[in-house]
Amino acid sequence: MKKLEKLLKDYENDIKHWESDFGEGHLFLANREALIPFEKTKEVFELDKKALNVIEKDKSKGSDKLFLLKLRDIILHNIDSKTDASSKVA
Amino acid sequence: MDGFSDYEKRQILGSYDKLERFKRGKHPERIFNEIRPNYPIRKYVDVLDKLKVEDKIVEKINSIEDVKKDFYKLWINEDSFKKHIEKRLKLSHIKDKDDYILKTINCVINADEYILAIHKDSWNNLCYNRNNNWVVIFNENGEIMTSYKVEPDKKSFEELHKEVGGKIKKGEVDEKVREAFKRLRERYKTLGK
Repeated sequence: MKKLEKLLKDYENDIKHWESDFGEGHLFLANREALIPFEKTKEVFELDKKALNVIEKDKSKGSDKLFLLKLRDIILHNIDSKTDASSKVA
Repeated sequence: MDGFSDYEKRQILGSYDKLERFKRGKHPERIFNEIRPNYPIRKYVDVLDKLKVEDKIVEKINSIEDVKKDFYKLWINEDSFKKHIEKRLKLSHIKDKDDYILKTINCVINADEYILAIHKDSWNNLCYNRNNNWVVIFNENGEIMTSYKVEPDKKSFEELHKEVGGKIKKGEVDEKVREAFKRLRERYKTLGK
């Protein structure tokens, strides 16, 4: 549980500190990838929604842009799978 | 631009509006690149690759007068430098700004690995890795993009750049850069005395 808390804190920090061409796109992606085993938790889902907003506003042009595009794919996959699961329940 | 008349300057820049911005102190390179960000003009030394990224790093270091006050000038900009410090403090990876500056300088001096990530449609990144413990990353303009503690359970700089299509080149740490950072550290240490 401690591990999850730390991973969430890292991801949240990335979301809070992100700005275009910050040079940390690779860390943002790495921190989110580390959360893949915990994707079904509510905390990850909520942070994903916030991260998606950050990515949509991002204007990076350099390598950061490539990392954020990959990050967006991971997030969208998680959001889509949760939406699919809820529609099946409904 | 000094050798040109106002008329010629206007012709070069393309409009009176741009000429006005130039007169207010805006650099002509920035004026040009704002209207065509996807195809920026570049200095001929960059295009012909006469000035390598390592030379650019050394050039920046040599331009620093007050190491403590001006350290941010090695970064992309001052805001970015401050945000990086804030983030590292929140993660408890550094004690304070001084600690961050020294960790960054020491990483380059003691780097045992040099990795260049080349991207076809994006900026290249140059990484100095110290004992797989701390990393400093430069962009192709020789500016520091980030400096951070490596976390062993996370994917490495190399792995992540490969995943997004980057080509990886490894080599020896450039001695000119190492020496320039050593001089910077000496000057930094003597500041408090």
